[in-house]
Amino acid sequence: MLRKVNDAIQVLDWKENITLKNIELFRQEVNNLLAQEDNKLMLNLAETSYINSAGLGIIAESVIQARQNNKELVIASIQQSIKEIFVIVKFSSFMKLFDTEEEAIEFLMVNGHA
Amino acid sequence: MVMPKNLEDFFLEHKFFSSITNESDRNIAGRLLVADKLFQNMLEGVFITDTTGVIKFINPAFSRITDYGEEIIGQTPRTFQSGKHDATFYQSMWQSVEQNGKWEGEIWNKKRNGELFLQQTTITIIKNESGQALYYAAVITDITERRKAEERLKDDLLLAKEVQKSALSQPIHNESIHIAGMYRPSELLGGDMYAWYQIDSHRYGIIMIDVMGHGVASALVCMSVRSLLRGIINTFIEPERVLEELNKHVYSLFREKESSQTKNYYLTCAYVVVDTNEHRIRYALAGHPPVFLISTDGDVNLLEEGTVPLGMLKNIVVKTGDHQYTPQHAWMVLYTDGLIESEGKSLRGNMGLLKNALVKNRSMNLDEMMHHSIANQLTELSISTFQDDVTMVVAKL
Repeated sequence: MLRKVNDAIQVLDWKENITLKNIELFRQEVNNLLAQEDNKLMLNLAETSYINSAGLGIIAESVIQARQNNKELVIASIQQSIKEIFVIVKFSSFMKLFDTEEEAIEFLMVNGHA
Repeated sequence: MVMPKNLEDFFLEHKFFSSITNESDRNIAGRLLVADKLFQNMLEGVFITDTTGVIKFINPAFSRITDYGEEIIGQTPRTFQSGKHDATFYQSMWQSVEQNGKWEGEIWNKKRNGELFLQQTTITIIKNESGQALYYAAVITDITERRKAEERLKDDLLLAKEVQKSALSQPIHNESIHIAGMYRPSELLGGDMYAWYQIDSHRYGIIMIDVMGHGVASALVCMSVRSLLRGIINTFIEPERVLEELNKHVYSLFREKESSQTKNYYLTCAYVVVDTNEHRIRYALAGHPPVFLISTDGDVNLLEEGTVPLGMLKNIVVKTGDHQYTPQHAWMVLYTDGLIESEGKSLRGNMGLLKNALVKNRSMNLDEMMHHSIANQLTELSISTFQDDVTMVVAKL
């Protein structure tokens, strides 16, 4: 279920770990987020403490796909365990990662595409 | 063949319906008719015994599976026991039926012609309204062929595993370098792999690859990459170029076929070029856990430069790292994330545990050093086996 913040940002709140069991649902939800007309997009992972490799791939591809469509997808509310995975896979080298939703909103409102 | 006893007779014998006078009785009659049709036509075999184990009813599918017709009625299931299970097996089966009202499992039984077959079985207890057991009903399926097919597949996978193992590099041991590796796939086939090549008189390229995911597909991706490694490493040598070339290959692996339904595959990798003349290593990682560079005094450098996993992005920017080492006094350790992943524990923390074990065991020979460190990691993570493939390479420089 998507949520709109500041009348400008579409937020996907993913509520669990990303595993083999729900990977297809995750793919669908993220595709749905990308299909929104808004160009400021956020994936909120506040309740996620594990992401499998397929999930990492979906996130990476979605960020690239958003960019190709002149949109910005950022990842927010990243827990410590996810941060450790993101450091190893060097996601910060090509996507915006934020510890809190507030920081993500601030970034999108200032820097996001018009 | 003698036709098995009809369920209708069973209902008649038990006077379930005598003269149908009202609506509710007519409903019962309707339900019984449906039950009888199901019983006669279902693909699963059914036999029903009384509480003393004497077979009272069978359906046509039971006869098709076992070859036994009506002559089995009045006998007990012991008639078709295979002799493959001991008394304890049947005791625990009946115990479960009594306690849980149900038992599910596989039993080897014997057809009328003596042929053994594997039977998937569900036994249910049928009670009357006051809870008193009346009958035991067993629903059976012959799964002998399915089991044979599974075993053939298992044999094929074992063979594939041997092929995969044979593709791993053999240790190199000379006066300037000693390289050895260890590989434990979590399932029969895995997506981890390591290789090393002597590039020229004094340079060696060492690579470790972890294709994300497990099983046959990962193993095939792994072998596909494996076939290119020697060419790419010998041609491009430097970490930046080697990873870029590998990325091109993995990225295009499934994307070229537009109609393809296959999902994308990614791999993480660690690649190091060791120059034994200059006592220098150059390296880059692609989404891979840090390489350890351990010195004689126990200091550990974490080598973390690199890029994202290969196959994720069309174009990658690779940062490389550069280190000097003291010859005969340095160990370089590459490993896959299977060794540092455990539910609810931090990757960094687990990495620290692995690092400490390696430092502690560095005076052993390389095989022992790897073996003990991996065993220690199992103990530290309080697990009996690793969920993921476990792969380690140590180079004594």
